Amino acid sequence: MCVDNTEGNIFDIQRFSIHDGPGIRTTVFFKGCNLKCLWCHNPESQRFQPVLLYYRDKCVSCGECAKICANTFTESCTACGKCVEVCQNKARRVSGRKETAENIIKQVLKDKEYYKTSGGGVTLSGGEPLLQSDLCLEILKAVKEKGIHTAIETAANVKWEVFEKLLPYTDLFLFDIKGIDEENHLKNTGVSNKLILENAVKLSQKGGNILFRMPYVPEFNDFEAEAVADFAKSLNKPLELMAYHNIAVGKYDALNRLYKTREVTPPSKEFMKALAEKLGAIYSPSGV
Amino acid sequence: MDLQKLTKIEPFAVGFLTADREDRCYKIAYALKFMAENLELKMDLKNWFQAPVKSFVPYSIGFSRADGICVRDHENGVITRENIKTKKIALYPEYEAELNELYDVMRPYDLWLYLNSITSDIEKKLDENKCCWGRGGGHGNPDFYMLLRLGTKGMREKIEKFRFIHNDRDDFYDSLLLCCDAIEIFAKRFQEKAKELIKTAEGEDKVVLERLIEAFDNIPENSPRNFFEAAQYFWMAYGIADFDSPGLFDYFLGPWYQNDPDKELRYKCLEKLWQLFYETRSWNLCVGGSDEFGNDMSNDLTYDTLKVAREFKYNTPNITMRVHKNTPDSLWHAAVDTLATGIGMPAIYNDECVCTALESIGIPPSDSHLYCMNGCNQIDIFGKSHMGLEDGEISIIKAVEFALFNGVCKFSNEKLGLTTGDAREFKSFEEFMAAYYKQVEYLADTIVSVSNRYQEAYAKYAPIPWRSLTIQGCIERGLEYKNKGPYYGHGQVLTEGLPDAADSMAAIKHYIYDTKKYTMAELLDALDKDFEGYDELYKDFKGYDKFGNDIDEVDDIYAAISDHIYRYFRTKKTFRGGVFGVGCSTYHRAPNYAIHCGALPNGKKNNETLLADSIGCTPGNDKCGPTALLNSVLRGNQYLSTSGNVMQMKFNKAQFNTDAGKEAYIALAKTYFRMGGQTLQINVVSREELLDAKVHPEKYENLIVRVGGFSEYFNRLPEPLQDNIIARTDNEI
Repeated sequence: MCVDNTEGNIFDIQRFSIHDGPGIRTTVFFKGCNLKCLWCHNPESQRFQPVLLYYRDKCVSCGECAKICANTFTESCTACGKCVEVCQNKARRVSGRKETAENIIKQVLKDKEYYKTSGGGVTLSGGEPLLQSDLCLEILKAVKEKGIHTAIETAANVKWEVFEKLLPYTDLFLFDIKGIDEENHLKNTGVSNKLILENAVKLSQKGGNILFRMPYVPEFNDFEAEAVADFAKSLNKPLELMAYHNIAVGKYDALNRLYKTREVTPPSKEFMKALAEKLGAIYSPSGV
Repeated sequence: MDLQKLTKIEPFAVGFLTADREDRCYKIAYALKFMAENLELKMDLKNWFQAPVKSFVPYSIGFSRADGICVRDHENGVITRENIKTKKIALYPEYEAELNELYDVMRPYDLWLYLNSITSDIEKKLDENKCCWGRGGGHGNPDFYMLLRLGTKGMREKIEKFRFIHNDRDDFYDSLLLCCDAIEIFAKRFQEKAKELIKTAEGEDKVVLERLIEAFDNIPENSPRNFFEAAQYFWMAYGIADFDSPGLFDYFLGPWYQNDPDKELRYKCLEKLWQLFYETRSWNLCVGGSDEFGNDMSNDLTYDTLKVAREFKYNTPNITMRVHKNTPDSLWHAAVDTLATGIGMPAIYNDECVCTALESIGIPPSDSHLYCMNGCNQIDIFGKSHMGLEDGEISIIKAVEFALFNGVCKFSNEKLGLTTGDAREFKSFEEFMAAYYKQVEYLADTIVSVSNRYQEAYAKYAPIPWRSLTIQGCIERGLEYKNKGPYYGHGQVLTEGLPDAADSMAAIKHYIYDTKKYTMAELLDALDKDFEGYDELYKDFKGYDKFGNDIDEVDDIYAAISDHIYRYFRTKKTFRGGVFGVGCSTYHRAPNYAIHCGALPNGKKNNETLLADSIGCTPGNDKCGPTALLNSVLRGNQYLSTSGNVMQMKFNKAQFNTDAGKEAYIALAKTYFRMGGQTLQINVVSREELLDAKVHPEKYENLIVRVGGFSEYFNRLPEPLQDNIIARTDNEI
C-alpha cells in the first residue's frame, strides 16, 4: 500500500498516551494492517479505508440515517460519514481519515514541553505504521530533529528495507512477537512469522533499540510464551508480556464483525506477574 | 433582666452585656474570657487534645469568624437567626421570659441587620440573579507559630511594647490581654478537670490525663517542650479561632515534630489531630513549599501528614501541597500515592507562580513564600493577612448576556446591566466586544463598591479580637483585624464561566461576523426561544470549537478576556488597604450560575446547568486529552491570579495506579508548572462518577480508557465492560 509523501491514512491521534513507550507521548494510530490477529483490539484499524462503527445500544431507531443513505447497513457502505452527522444519539462514528504529515507533526509538537519533562515523545502505532513508511519517515525525521524521543509500535511483517530506512530516526521499536511456531502464527494472524522473526534478528544486529512485546492470549498463543522469551533472550532484548483483555468487544459489535477471542477469560494480574517473573520478562499492567 | 441566671446557658451574651466598657472589640474579648470562666468544661479523652468547643451550649448566641456576633447553633455550625430562639426555649422552658428578653437585647448587635441595609435594590437584584455579588468577611490564618514560640507570656510583652507606641488604644490592647487571659483560664480549668478525673481514670485515659496535666503546667504561658504540648496548644488556639484553616501545618508544628525523640508518640498525636480536624470540618491545611531563597521547607511532618491522610482517607481538611523546583522526588511520590487513594488531595500549588503573583501586588518575597491556602482554595499569607476570602464573585457569562441583550437579564427579564446598544446594530465583532467589556467592568465596579461597604461594616460591627491577637500587623499597628490591622489587606474576587464566555464569543465571531452564516438578529431570536426551531443554528453553535482543546481561535479570545478582567480588578483598592485580586474556583456553585443565565451562544440551553469547572473547560468539552486542556488553560496569564486559579482534572483510577501512570502525572504537573500553571487538583475518578458517566455520558466525553496501544472512550464501551471498569476502580487500592 503506497501513499504519497505528505498524506496518509490514520484513525486517531491520542495525546497523553502513557503506555506506548516512556513518558508522556502522543500516539499516532495508522490505519491499515497486513495481519489479521484474531484478538486484535483495534479491529477498525485493519482496513486502510475508513470504516463505519455503529453502536447498537446507543441507537434510538430514529431512522434519520436511513433517510439520507440507502447503504447504511450494507456492504457497499463507503463510510462517507453523512449518517454520522444526522445521528441524534451519537450511535455512529467513522474511523479513519486522511491526514497530511505536516498536520500530524503540528499536532505532535504541541506537547513538546510535556515530552521534555517526562522523556516522552511520539509513538507511531496502528494498524501497522510501517505500511505507510514514507509518512513514518517524514514524521520521525521532523520530530527527531527537535530532540524528541521517537518510537514505532509494529508487527514487523514488512520488507527489511523499511526498517533500514527508519532505523536512524527511531529511538525505540515496540516489536510485537505473537508466536514462534509458524503454523500457529498463520492460524492466529493469517500470515507467516518468517519475515517478522528475520526482521527481529536483523534489527537487533543493526543496533536497533528493541522492546519485544507479546500479547498473551489464553488458548491461542499462551503456550508459546516460553519460546518467545527464549527468542528475546537469544537476542539479548527485553520482553514485555501484555495480558489479553476484552475491552475491544464493543468495537467488534460496532463493526458487526466476529470476535473470535470473545469468550477468552483475561488472565489475572497475579498470574501474569508470576509468569513474567518466571520467564524473566516485564509484565505490563496495561494489557494488550 | 437577671443575667446571672443565664450565665451557664448563654455565657457569651451575658459576658458581652456585662462587660465594663463600651468598645465592641473589648466587649467581645470580655465575653470570650467570661466564657472561659463559666463554661462547664467537657473533656474529650478519646481524641486526647482539648478545645472548648465540646463545651459550647447548643443554640446559644455566639461569635462567628465571618459574621461577628450571631445567633448560632454551635452543634451544627449553622447560623439560623430566627428559629434558634424557639429551639433554645424548648431546651430551657424555665427561662422562657429571660431568653426572650435576652434575644431582644442582643438583636441590635447582629451584623446582618446592617448588612441588609447597605446595598441598593439593583445591587440586591444583581446578587439574587447571580450576576455578581460582594461581601467582606471571610477566613483567616492565625499565626500559630508566633503563638507557640512566644507563649502568652511573650504575647503579653509584645502587646505592652506596642501599647507604648500607640498609647491612645487601651481598649484594643486590653481586649488582646483578655484573649490571653481566656486561653490561660481554659488551660487552667482543663488542668483542674484533668486532676479531678485522674482519680478514677484507668488505662490509656490515665496516661492521657497525666500528659495533659503536665502539659498545662507549661502551656499556654510558655513555648511547648514536646510535640504533645505543641499539638495541645495549637488545638486550643485553633478551637478559639473557630476551626478555620490550620495554614502552614508542617511549618509551624514541624520544629516540634522534628525534634520530638518519641517517634511513636508524635505520630499518634498526629493521628489524633487528624481525627479532630475531620470532626470539626476544618478547612485547609498546607504543607511543603520553599522559602524565599528556594530552600525546600519540608520535614518529617510533611511526609507524615500525607501518610496520615492516606491512612484515614477523610475528605476534610483540604490538603494543599506547595511545590517548587527543589521539591524532592520522594515528596512528589508521597503526594501522588495520596492522590491514588482517590481522596482528591493534596491539591498541588506552584510556588513559583503564586509567589510571583503575590510579589506583583507588593508582598515581599520573605512573606510571599509564607502563602498558604484558606477556605476552599484561596490564597492567604500565613499569619499576616486578611485577604478577605470571597469578597465577591462575578459571572462572566452574565456580562455576555448583557452585551447581547442590551443589559437585560434573561432570568428575571429585568434590565440589570448597562445600556450598551442593540446588538443587532453592531457592525463588527470588535463592537460586540466593546459592549461586553463595558458590561463586565460594570459588574466588577459593583462588586468593588459593595464589597468595600461590607468590609467597612465588618470593621465597625464585627471585630475579632482573637484574630487581632494572632495575626501579625494588628498589634504592631494598633488596629483591629477587620479594620486594616493585618499587614496585607488585599481582596479576592472569583470569576464564573470565563471559558463559557470565550466559547460563546468564538462562535459569535465565526458565524455572525466572519462567515456571516447567521445574523445577530437570528441568534438573539434563537436564544430567546431556547434554540426552538433553530436546529441548524443550534448544531453549529453547540458544535463549534471549544476552549480546552488547544485551538488558538478560541484560546486567543479566552486569553484576552481573562487578562482583561484580572487586570481590571487589580486597579481597584480594598477598604482593608490592598487591591482586589482575582481567582477562579467554582466547584459546586457553577450550576447555580448557569441556571441563572438564559440560552447562550456556546450552545447552553436555558435550563442546562453545565458551566466551566473552575479555570478548566466546560465538563465534557475537552476532547484531546489533558495536555491539550492544560495548553488551553495556560493561555490565561496565571501570574495575575492572587486568589487561586484552580485547575481540576479527572483520571481513571485503574490507570493512575501504575508506576508509569504516576510518573506521567508527576511529569504532567511539573510541565504545567514550568509553563506557568498555578495549581493542579487531580481527582482519580471515583466509582460514583463512573456510575454517573453511564447515565450522563455527555458530561464525561473526555474520559478515555487508556490502555497501551488502544484507543477508546469510556462512553463507547458496552455496558458490561463499563461495569467491569467500575469494578476495577472499586477494588484497586
